[in-house]
Amino acid sequence: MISSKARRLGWVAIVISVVGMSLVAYFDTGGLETQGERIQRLSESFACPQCDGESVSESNAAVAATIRAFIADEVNSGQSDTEIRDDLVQAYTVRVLLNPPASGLSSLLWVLPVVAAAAGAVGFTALFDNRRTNQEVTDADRKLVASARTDRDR
Amino acid sequence: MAEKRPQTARWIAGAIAVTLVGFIALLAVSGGEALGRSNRLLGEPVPSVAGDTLDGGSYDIADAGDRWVLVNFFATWCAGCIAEHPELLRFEEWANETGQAEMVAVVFNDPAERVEQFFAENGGDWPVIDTPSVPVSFQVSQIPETFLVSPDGIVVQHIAGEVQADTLIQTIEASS
Repeated sequence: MISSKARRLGWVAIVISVVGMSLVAYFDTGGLETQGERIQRLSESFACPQCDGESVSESNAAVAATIRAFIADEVNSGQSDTEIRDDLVQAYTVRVLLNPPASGLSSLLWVLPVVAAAAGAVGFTALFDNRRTNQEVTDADRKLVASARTDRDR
Repeated sequence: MAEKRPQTARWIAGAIAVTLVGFIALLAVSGGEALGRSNRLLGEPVPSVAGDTLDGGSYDIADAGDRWVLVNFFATWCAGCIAEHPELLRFEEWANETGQAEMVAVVFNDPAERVEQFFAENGGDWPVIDTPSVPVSFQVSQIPETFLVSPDGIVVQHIAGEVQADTLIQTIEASS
């Protein structure tokens, strides 16, 4: 028999493991990442300014090739991801980011879908809850059934 | 009780609709200005234009002194760039005669050998640099694109498309 204390410790260990792994996954930017991998990762995070929804990495447009070369130059000269990102945003505005920043007005792009989904969930819950509570048979229902039976038996 | 359901549903549907409309509106306006052909550098100090030239020298716009500078973005695969080349040759001739201006070409995604061969065959003695940070800082996306920089180091003109030597010369003479 496992004691309640041991069970509680087990749960604490599971929670710590999950939180720890989530934090590692969130903050780990790849300590063993090569320069080539870093250039590729950065290229995948920027939108081609001249294309529709294509990343700099995917696009064959000349401007995308130029931005790839720019990223490679900056990485090779020791610039940080933030510096490269800031330079590209300065030149091509925040639209060059494939993932909008989670701050300022753009953060609403993340928040609004969640709000809509939550409102939808609340709506469906309320709807089904209403249906369940409205299943009581009323006197009017009974009268209707009785009347129908009378008509049938005639 | 029976009337509560449609009323609640209406409120929820309204809330979702307002949220989605807000989301769509935000998507439409986010990011500020569009990445079109307008250029935010107009009226602003010129970014760095510096680098090794294809002929083994070096160029830095900071050394232009009190001359105007024509910064031309170029590639041999660009039909407009080839078409405007005679106009650039005319402008170079005027610039050399008057000493009022100088030119620099910036390669836009083209192998250096091809560019060198093009200049050898078609003329043009202005410096050519191949530095990817320059087209990025000038927000260049579709060439030919050319920028006219005043002696004060301010970007005064952005030409998206082929240049006309006479128009450039008139602009400079009118401002000098």
